[in-house]
Amino acid sequence: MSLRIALTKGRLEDKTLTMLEEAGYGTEKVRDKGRALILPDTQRDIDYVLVKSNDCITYVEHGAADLGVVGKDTLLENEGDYYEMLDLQTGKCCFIVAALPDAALFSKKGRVRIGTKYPHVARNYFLSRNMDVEIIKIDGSVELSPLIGLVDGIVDIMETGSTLKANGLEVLDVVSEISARVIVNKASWKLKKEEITQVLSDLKKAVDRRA
Amino acid sequence: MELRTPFGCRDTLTREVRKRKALCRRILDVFDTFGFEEVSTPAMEYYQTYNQAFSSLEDRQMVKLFDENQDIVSLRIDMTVPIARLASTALRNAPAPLRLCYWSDVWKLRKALSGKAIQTSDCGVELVGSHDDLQILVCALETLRSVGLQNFRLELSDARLLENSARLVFDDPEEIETLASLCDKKSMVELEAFLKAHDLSEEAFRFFSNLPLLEGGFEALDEAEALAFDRGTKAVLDELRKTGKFLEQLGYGGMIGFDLGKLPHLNYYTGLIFEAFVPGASGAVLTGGRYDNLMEKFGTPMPAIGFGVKIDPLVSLLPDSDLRTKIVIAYPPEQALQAFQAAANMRNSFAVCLLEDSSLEGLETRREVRP
Repeated sequence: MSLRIALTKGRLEDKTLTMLEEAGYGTEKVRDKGRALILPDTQRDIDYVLVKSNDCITYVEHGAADLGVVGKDTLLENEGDYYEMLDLQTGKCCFIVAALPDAALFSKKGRVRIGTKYPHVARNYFLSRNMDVEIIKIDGSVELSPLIGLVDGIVDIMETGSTLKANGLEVLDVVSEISARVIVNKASWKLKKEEITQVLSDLKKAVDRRA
Repeated sequence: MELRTPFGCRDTLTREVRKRKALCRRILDVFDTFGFEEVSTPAMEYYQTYNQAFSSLEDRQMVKLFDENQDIVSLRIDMTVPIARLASTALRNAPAPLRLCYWSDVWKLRKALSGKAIQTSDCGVELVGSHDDLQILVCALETLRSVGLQNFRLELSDARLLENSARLVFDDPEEIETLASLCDKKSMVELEAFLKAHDLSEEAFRFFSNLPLLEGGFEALDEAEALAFDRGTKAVLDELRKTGKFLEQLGYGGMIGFDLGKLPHLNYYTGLIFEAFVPGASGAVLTGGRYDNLMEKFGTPMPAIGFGVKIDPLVSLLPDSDLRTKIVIAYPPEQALQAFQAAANMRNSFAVCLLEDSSLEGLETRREVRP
C-alpha cells in the first residue's frame, strides 16, 4: 500500500528533505515542485505533501496523511491524537523565556504579561513555576512585543538567538528542547505497518549515521 | 441569528439516516443473539456521577449545564457510566450477570474547526457481574463482521501488563500513569527520556522501552515474554496467548492481533483491553475492555466488561443505501375516500403518499423516486 507523508514547509523543509535523501528517498519532485501540490517520490511508492506545521497534525490525525514530519514546538502547542515515533534530531532549537534586562520577570510583583505565539506552552510553563501570568497571543515577530511595552517577557522558539541579542533581550530560561519529529496516524500504523516501519527504520538509520 | 447547527453538530438527511439505521440494526441484532437487552438512559447525567466514576475526568470535554437546584448536569460523554449507574440503582437486585446494550448519542467537546464532531453515535454492550472475557470478544468480532466491511482487525492488550511490572519499579502512581500514557501514545522519544531520568535496572529499561512496539501476531507475545522481568506480567501474557489461541480455534485467527503498548486510561481499565481498526477510518472503530473497579465506585463492587462501536466513521465507509421508490396517488377532492382506501390497500407492499389535486378528474397513480 502506498504511503502519504506530510512535510512541514519552511524552517524544517530543507532539513527534512536532506534527511530523506540521506535515507535513500527520491525527493527531486519535492525540491522542484512548481505548482504541484501532491509530489511523488521518484524511488518509492510514496506521495509527499508540503503543509504548514499545524496542518501537518490535522492531516495526520484525520489519516489524510499516514505520516508527518513536524517540529516538537507544534506538537507541544497542539494536543492531538497520533503516535509520535521518531526524533529526527534535526531542526533543533528550543523554547525560551526572554525579557529585557530590567524586566525582573520572575521577581516582579503583581501581574506579569507574556507575549507568545505558543499560549499553551507558555501557560504550562508558568503554571509549573506557580506563576499566574497573563498571556497575550502574538502572531508574528514576538520579540517586538516587550520592546514597545506590550508585555513584560516572551516565550518563543530560539534557533541562534541573534534576533534576541540584536534587540537587547536576555534569555532567562529554557522551557524545552525542540527538534523535528515523525508522527504517525494511529489507524495507518495498524493497517500499513510494514511500509511505515520501513520508512521509520530508514530514517532512524540516517539519524544514527549523523550522530 | 444565523440559522445553523452549533459547532461540531450536524443534521443527518434521509438517505444517511436509512443507512445508519440499517447498520445499527445489524449490530443490535448481533447483540440480541448474544442475549444482550437494549436499554436507554437520559442524555444528561449529574456531573457528580461522572466525577465519582473517573479519578481523572476529562471534564473540559463535557458539555455542562445547571439544573434548577443549581446542580451541575452534563451531557453524557459515554454510555458505560450511565449503564453502571443503572446497574447499581434500578437493576441493583437483578440477578447477575447483567447483559445490557445500547444505541445512543454521546457528546464530547472538540476544538472548533478541527473536523471532529461533538455529538457522536455509539452502539455497545456491557456485561456486568461476570469475569468472562471471551464471549465479549466473540461478540465484538461478530459485530465487526456484521458491519459488512472487509479487513478489520481486532487488537488485544491488557492493562495489567504495565501495571504489574511498573509497580515493582515506580512508587508514585502518577509516574506509572505518565509511563502508561507515553506507551499508549507511542511517544518513543519522550518515553526514552522518561526512563533514562529514572534509575532503572537494564531489564526494566528494556521491557518498558520496547513495550509500545510489541505488536503483531503471537510473535509479539513471545518477544514480550522474553523481555518481561516479573512473574505477574508473564502470567498476563500467558492469559493473552490462551485468549488468542481460543479465538483462533473458533476461526477468528485472521482478524485478531496484539498491541501490548495499548494502555489507555490506566486507572479505568483493569484487565483485557481491545480496539478494532478498519481501512479507511482514521482511528479505532471499536474500543472496549474490562473495568472491574467502576461498579465499586457506585457502591456495588462487581467485575464488568464491555465495548462500544463508533457508528459515524463506519457509516461514512459503507456504500449509500438505495434510492426509494414511492407510490403517489393524486386525487380530486371529491374522490378522497376512494384514494384513501386505495392507499390503505397498497401500503401492505409499498410506501404510499397522497396528493390532493383539484385539476384532476379521477385518481392518478405514479411512481416517485426520492433520495
